[in-house]
Amino acid sequence: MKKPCLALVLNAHLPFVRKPEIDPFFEERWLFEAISETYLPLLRLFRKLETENIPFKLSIAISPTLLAMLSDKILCDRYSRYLDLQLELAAQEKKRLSGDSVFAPIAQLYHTLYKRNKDDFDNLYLKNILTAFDYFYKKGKIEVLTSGATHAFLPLFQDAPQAIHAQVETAIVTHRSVFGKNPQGFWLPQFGWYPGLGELLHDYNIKYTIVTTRGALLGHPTPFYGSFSPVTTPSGLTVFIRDAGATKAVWSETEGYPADPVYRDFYRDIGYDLDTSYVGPFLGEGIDHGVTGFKYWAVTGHTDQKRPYEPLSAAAKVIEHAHAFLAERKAAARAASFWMKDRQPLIVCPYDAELFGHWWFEGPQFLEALFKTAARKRGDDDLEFVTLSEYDRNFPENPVSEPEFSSWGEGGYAEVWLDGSNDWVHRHSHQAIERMMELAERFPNESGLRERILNQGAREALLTMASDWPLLLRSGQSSSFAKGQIEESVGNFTRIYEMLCANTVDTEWLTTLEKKNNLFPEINYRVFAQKR
Amino acid sequence: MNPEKLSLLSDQELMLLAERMGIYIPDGLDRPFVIEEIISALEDDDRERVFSHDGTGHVEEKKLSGGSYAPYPSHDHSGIPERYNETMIRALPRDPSWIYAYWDISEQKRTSFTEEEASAGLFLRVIELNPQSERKNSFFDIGISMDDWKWYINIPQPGSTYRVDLCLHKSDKIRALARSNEVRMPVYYMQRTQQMPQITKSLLILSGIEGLHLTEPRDDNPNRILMADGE
Repeated sequence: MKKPCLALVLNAHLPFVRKPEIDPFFEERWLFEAISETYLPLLRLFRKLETENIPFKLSIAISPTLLAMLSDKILCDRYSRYLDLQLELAAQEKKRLSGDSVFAPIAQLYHTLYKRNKDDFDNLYLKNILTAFDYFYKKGKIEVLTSGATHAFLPLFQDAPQAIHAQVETAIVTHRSVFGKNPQGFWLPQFGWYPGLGELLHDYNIKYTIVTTRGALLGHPTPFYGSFSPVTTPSGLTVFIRDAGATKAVWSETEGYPADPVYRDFYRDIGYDLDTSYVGPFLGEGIDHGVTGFKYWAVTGHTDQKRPYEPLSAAAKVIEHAHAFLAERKAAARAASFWMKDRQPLIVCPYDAELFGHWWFEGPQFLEALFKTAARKRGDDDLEFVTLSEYDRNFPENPVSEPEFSSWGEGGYAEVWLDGSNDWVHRHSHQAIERMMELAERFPNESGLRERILNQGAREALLTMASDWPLLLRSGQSSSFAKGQIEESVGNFTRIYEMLCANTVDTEWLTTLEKKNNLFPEINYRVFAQKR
Repeated sequence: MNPEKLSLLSDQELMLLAERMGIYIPDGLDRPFVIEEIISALEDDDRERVFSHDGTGHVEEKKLSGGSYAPYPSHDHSGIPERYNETMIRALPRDPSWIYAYWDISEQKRTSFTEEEASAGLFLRVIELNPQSERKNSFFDIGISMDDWKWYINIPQPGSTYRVDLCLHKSDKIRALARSNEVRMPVYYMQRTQQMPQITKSLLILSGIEGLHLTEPRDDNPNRILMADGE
């Protein structure tokens, strides 16, 4: 490595939402929208860059719950049918807007998007896009990280280390079952870190993770190279540090690139603008309004001040922003290089994958422009894209530091997952994991039906730990659904616990539940046992 | 944090707490008014006390948006227990200033309480396990009722380790019904930058330290207020 380095890291994650007994189930659209607007466009980008011989490197975390859903036949079949419906709506939109010189081209854009998605998903990937990620993973173009099994916010479980072991071990097993090898990197759910976590991750042979700038700089001792180099915890885990400038440039809702007026607006959607009689059939029975994905307006301003979306203007702006992004990172790296004589400075840019395409519609174009612009630069001080493990291999010796308790949530600590709106959840999730630990001790060597119910208990206990539901309870959106998800997994676990205590099993109920919450098929309930 | 607890703090500690909370205290303000200002600020929505951080979590919510807003059908689960009929207390760290504690008292234990114990005998004892200052008291108490089951506890010393005991006054004796786990509180501010090598100081600036507000106000002389107050 002879140039300053830039590591782009994306986190692809969605909570486990699968309701085979309800068809269609509206919240499954979270998955469908993410596949349509982020995962498939990202894979198209990778293919395009490969075809054009443009070098690219990035790290991507795919959470275990997302792996479970992308591997699930029912969900993948439903997604394929969802695309049929979207294509039908696109055709209807083209008809509705026929002759409109402003909006008809946008309707055509959506028709093309969903047509490509349908072709790629059904024909190219045979309804399994994980094979495509695996292809680029094996070629070394991308590196896939794992994350907590159900995206638990780990600092709130630090007094129950077995539960964290269960999150990490289940995640590794799931990753290995899909990609055939152990992950090197671990994406901390919500960037939740606490001092001491490194030892646990290192015990599982995890090589590295990433923390916020705040968490790292508050660490002890203060990182010698600031955020321009990873640190190594006393236990030996490499901890990369998020770059504050790169974060603000893309994440900020007010000043970040996605807030530019020319980009497509996320909120205004025909699912709310048009009459129920028109959009209702595409949303599901009994649903009057909701997101369809058909959005015709630019960010511009408030709802009544928005101007029509102009894809060409947005495409030009993307290139401008990609240049600005690289120039700013290059300037920071050059300044850091002055002080760093024994290693190349590294700028770590981690984002939610779904930011690119779903929230920021032009996000995949931005990534394309980044890689293409960087490929044209030949200067010694120009940035080189690397994966995190690549940097780790080249610079294995880092300053030692233990980062501080931190997260990427508002306030920088745990308040997003622990306030008056969601604190009731923790009593139940901690109770479930304590009871699951108790069961793992009481029944260490079960097989047959009892092993099945213990394994399902472990799944439900893990589901109670998901950080997504407290997040939604706090934000107030989909909070009724979030509450239902928590109640359901706590209720399921409690019933399992009581059945085991009473030495009875309702086999029919268990079988139904196993078919419904079928994530982590290789789970071993003993992950909750005391580590000796 | 309540007026009783605040009244146990020294003038210097009160001023430090006010400063940490971003409350402007004019010179010469009497002690009771300082306490009143702090209580008033605490009663405001604590979300308003925004501390700078390095990114928003709001985008995270976008991918889970667009829900139907329809009530979720909850017919297929057995419901969640209201209580678990055990005597316990757990403490969770929320940020450098706040611990969230929740507890329960088993039915058997509840029925053993006298009327007086049940009405006025319960309290939480918040214990600092590694006091970093020379304060006499390394614990403080919070009175609770039988109906309470959770409390957000404002703690005075970020960076310290605390434990919360669920206690009962019983016949002039204090009995701990349950002890929480130990909670090590995080810190707001980084170590003093003056003692760092120039390389680190420069790279911290390039890392954006100023925008993150990680250095303690008056880092150059953290005792300035205390000295002024003392004078």
